[in-house]
Amino acid sequence: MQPRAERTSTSTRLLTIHGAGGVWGIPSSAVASIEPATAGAATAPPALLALLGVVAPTEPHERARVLVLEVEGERVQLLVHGALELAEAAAADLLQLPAAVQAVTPLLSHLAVFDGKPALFVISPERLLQAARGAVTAIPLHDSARGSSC
Amino acid sequence: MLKTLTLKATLTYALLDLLFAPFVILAFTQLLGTGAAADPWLTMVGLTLLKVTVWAIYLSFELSPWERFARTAPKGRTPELTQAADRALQGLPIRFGIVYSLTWIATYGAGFLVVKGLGPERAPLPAQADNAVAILCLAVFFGGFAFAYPLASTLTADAASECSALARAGKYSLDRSPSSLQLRIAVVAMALALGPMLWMVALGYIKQVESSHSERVTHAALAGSQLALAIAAVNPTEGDVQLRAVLDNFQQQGIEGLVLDAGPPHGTAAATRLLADDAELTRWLDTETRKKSAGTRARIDWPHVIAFQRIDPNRVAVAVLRAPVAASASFVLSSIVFTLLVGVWAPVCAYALGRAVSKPIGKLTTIARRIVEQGDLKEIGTVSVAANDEIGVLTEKVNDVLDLMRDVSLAAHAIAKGDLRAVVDGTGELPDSFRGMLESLRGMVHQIRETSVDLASAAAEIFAASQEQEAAAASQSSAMVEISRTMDSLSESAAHVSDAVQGVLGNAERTLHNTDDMVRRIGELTSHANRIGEILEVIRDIADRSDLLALNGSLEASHAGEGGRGFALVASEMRRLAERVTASVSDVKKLVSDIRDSGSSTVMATEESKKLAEGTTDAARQITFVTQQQRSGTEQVSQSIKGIADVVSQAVSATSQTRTSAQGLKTQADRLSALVKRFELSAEAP
Repeated sequence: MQPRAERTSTSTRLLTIHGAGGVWGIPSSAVASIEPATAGAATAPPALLALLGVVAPTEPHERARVLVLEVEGERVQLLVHGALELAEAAAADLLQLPAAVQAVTPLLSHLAVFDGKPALFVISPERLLQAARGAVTAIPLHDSARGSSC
Repeated sequence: MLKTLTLKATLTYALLDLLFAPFVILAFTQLLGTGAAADPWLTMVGLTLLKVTVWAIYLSFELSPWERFARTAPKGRTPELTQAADRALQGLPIRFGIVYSLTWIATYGAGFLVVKGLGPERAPLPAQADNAVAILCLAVFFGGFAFAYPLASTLTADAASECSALARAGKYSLDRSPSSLQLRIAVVAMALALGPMLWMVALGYIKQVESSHSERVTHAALAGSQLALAIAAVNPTEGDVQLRAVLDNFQQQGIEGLVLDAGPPHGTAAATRLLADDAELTRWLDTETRKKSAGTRARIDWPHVIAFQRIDPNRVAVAVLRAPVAASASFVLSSIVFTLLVGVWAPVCAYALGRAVSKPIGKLTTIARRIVEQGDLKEIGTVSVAANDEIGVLTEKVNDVLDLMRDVSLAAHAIAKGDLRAVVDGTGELPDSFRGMLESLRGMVHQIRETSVDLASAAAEIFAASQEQEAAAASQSSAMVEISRTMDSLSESAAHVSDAVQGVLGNAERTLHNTDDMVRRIGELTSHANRIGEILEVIRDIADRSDLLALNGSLEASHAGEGGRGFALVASEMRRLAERVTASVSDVKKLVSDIRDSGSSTVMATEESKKLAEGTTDAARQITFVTQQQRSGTEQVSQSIKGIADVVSQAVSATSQTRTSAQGLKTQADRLSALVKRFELSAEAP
C-alpha cells in the first residue's frame, strides 16, 4: 500500500528511513530538504539514531544523508543512514503511542501500520527539534541551504 | 818370436840358403876348375845375395793376402779375406818351390856365364863345362825344390790351420782344390833323388874331362920321350930317311913329331905348321928347352898337348898330341841310364812309401766319413794293423775309439728305448762325460716324472680356474654389453630429455614473455577498470545527486500537494531511474571491482606463473645443463664401458686361450708322464 500525500486530510506523507537501525518515519512536511552528507565538514550534524538512543552498526553501503528539518521556523540538520523513501500513510494506519511509551521514547509519536502489520515508528519533528537543540545549535532559516519552501 | 809369417819364412830360407851357399859355391868353382880364384867367388856371392833378394820379394808378394788377414782384427776377418789368405797359403809351397828353384838355376847359370866371360886366360874352361853346368843347374833346381817345397808347407801349416778353424767357426767352407799326399811325396822324393844325383853326375862328368886332360898330358910326355929315344937310335949315316920313318911311325900313332936343332925344325907337316903359326909356342920351346931337358905344355881348353925331350945337347924332340878332352862314353851312358832309373824309381818308391802311409789313412778317412755321414757304427769292423809304426799306432787308437763309440752308441740306443740302466766302461773324457750325462738324464727323468704329475695337476687346476674365469668374464662381458646398451639408451634418453627440456625451456621463456605481456595488459585493464570506477563514481555521484534531487523533488511535490502530484510522479520516475542507475552503477562497480579483483588475482597468478615460468626456465636451463653434462658423462661412461667391454672381451678370449693352453698343457703333461714312464731307472736312481 502506497502512502498518501501529506496534505490530504486522510493521509500523511512520511519520509521513511530504511537503515540498519530499523525503519523510521518522519513527516515529510517537516523535511525542508535533503542534502548530501559532506565527509569533510568541520562540524558534523547529529545522527538520528544517536538521538533515538539506538545503537546499530553502520553498513558501509548505506547512504548517508543530511535531513534538513524545518520545525517551528527553525531548521535542524540530522544525519541519517539508509534508504530514504516517501510513503503515504492513512490516518487510520498511524497509531498514537501510549503516554507511558512516549515517556520512555519521547522522540517517537506514532506507530505506522501497513497492511495490518506494524511497519515503522514515526518520529515527532517537534520533539526531535527539542532533542536536537540539546545537541546542536538550531540553524536560522536564513542560514539554511534550501530555505523554507513550505 | 818373429812377428809375421813373411819375416819368419824369409829369415828361415835366408839362413838355410846362406848356410848352404858357401858349400855350393865351392863345389861350383871346383867344378869349373877356377879353384880359389877371387873373381868367381865374389861373383857367386853377389849373385847369391841377389837371388835371396829376388825370392824374398816374391815370397813377400805371395804372402801379402795372409799378412792382410793377420793384420785385421779377428772381428773384421771376413770370409773373403780368409779365403784369399788361405788360397795364398795353399798355393805358396808349389809356386815358391818352383820360383826358388829357378833362382838357383839363374844364379848358377849367370855365374857360369860371368866366369866364362873372364876368358880362357883367366878361367880356362873345357868345352864340356857347358854340359856340366847344365847338369848342375838341373841338380840345383831339383835340390832347391826338394828343399823349398816341404819347408814352405811346414811354415804355412799353422796359418792354414788357423784359416780352416776360422772358417769352421764361421760356418763356411774354404775353396781348397783337392790334393794328393802320395803325389806330393812322390814329387818331393823325385826332386830329392834327382837333385844330389845330378849334382854328382855333373861333378863326375867334369872330373872325367879333367882326367881325360891329365891322361893326354901324360900321353904327350911319354910320346915325347919315346920320340927322343927313337930319334936318338937313328943311324946318322942313313940320314933323313930313317928319321922320316920314325916320324911317320909316330904320326900313325897320332903323334906329330918334330926335331929342333941348330938348323930349321924338321918334322911332320902338321907339327912344323903348328910351330910356324904359334909364335908363343916357339918362344916357350926356346925358353924351356934351354932350362929343362923335358917338359910339357898343355891347357884343358886346348885341343893338343906339346911335350919335348932333349935328345942330345944339340937336338930336342917335340911331340904334339892332338886329342881334345872328353868324358868317357861309358860314364856318360851310365850316368844317363842311372839318372833315368833314379828319376823313375824314386817316384815309384816314393809312391809306394806314400801308399803305405796313405792307404791306412784312406781307410781311416773312409771310416770317419761313414761315421760322420752315415753314423753307421755296426757295419764298421776293426781296421787291420799292418805294422807297429805311427800309422799302426794311429789305427790301433782309432780301433779303440771305434770300440768306445760302439759302446756309447749301444748305450745311447738303449737310452733311446727308455732303458737308462745302460753302463759304459772305459776311461777318458767321453765315457766320463757320457756317464755323467746318463746320471744327469736319470735325475732329469725322475724329476720330469714328478714334475709332469705336478704339471698335470696344475694344468687341471688352471683349466678349471680358467673355465670359471672364462664364465665369469663372459658374464662380465654380457653385463658390460648390457650396461653399454643401457648407457646408450640413457644417452638417447638424455638426448630426448635435453630436447624436451629445450622445448620446455622455449615454452617457459614464451610463457614468461606472455606472462609479462599479460601482466602488462592486466595492468592496463586495471588501469581502465580504475578509470571506469572513477567514471562510475562520477555516475554514481550523479545518480546519487539525481536521486537526492528527485527525493527533494518528491518532497517539494508533496509540499505542493495535489499540484505537485505530476511533479511527484516525474520525481518518482526520476528517482527510480537514479536508483536504477545507482543499482546499475553498483552492479557495474561490482563488476569493475570483480574485474579489478580478477585482475589482481590474475596479476598475482600471473606473477606466480611468472615466478613459476622463471623457475621453470631456470630449472629447464639447469636441467639442460645437467642433461648435457649427464649426456656427456653418459657418453664417456658408455665409451668407458665399451672399452671395459673390449677389455673384458679380450679377457674372455685370453681366458679361453688360457683354458685351451691349460687343456693342451694337461694333455702334454699326461703325454710327458706317459713318455717318462717308458724310462727304466736303476734302483739307486733318485
